[in-house]
Amino acid sequence: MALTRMTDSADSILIEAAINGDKTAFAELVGRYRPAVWGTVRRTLGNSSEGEDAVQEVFLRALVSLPRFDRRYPFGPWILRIASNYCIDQLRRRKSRKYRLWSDLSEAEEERLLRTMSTKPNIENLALEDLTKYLEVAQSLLNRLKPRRRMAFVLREIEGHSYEAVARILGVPEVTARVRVWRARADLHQRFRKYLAALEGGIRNEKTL
Amino acid sequence: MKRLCDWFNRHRDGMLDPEQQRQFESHMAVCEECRTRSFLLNSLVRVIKEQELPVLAGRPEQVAAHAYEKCGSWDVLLLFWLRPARAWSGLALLVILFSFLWILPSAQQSSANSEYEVLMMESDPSNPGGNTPTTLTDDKLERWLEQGGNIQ
Repeated sequence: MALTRMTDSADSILIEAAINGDKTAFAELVGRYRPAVWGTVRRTLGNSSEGEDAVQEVFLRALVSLPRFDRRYPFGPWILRIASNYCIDQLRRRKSRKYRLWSDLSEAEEERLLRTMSTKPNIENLALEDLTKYLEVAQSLLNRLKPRRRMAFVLREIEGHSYEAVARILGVPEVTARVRVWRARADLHQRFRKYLAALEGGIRNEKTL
Repeated sequence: MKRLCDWFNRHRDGMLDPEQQRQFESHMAVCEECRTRSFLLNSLVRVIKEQELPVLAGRPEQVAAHAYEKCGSWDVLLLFWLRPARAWSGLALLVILFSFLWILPSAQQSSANSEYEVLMMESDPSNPGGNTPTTLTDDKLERWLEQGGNIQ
């Protein structure tokens, strides 16, 4: 999916038809952009059960805002901006709730996985069970990032967008997008060190982070 | 050493020129801090990327039909128009409007009241220090006010 080109003519026709109430045209747009929206939502919000509802909500918001969409710009970043705003809202709501900081793994297992993460970049040889545990620890580290930084990090590092595309999706200048990604990297490293230090010290206390 | 550690992000984003790149790579071979940072990010990104995305159950047609069904409902439209940014700016505008309508007239009223009270006090016969004639008719009071309160 090209995120930087102008809205292509096919998208433009579908958008026009969708505004006029053509459900099939909108379904076609959903089919085109749902994988990108799903990937962004899932990787930002993590393994939560709200994934499918989130995608539904994003397309609902898109349909309501569709008449105001400026067709001089590409549709991809626009729908991803709606998805990003939705994810940031959800992350802020979660922040106000109490949520689990530590994974369900044992301390020894967490420590072993964190040590592997910091010394071995290759995870090909990990067993599936270990990979699942690894993912849980990675996700719990990611969960601690501030919503805006996390969103920028996911778009840049995991979804692999350029800074220009990240900036367009987030609706911020490119330099702001870059700063958010850099800060997210620094935060991750800092939390990782604290996390590991807490495990080594046997302190499983939320206040330590 | 510290300066080279600061190049970490630029290295990761491919912003260093070949010479700087070479310098940073030699630095990374000896700097545990940068190496750990790099390993951590690589493995974290990789493990999340390699996670298989579950297949979505609903077909695009169902998503579209649901969206059309919901988009006309009053609660969706209300929530859409009351999105935080709009809601807060609307509230701020209301507060400003309310301040103009309520605080400003009440301030004028209070200033008019104070002026009246001063006049009454100055014209009070029991107030020997006042320089206002003690018995004033309305005409005289008006003239007195027009002349700036200096009638003899």
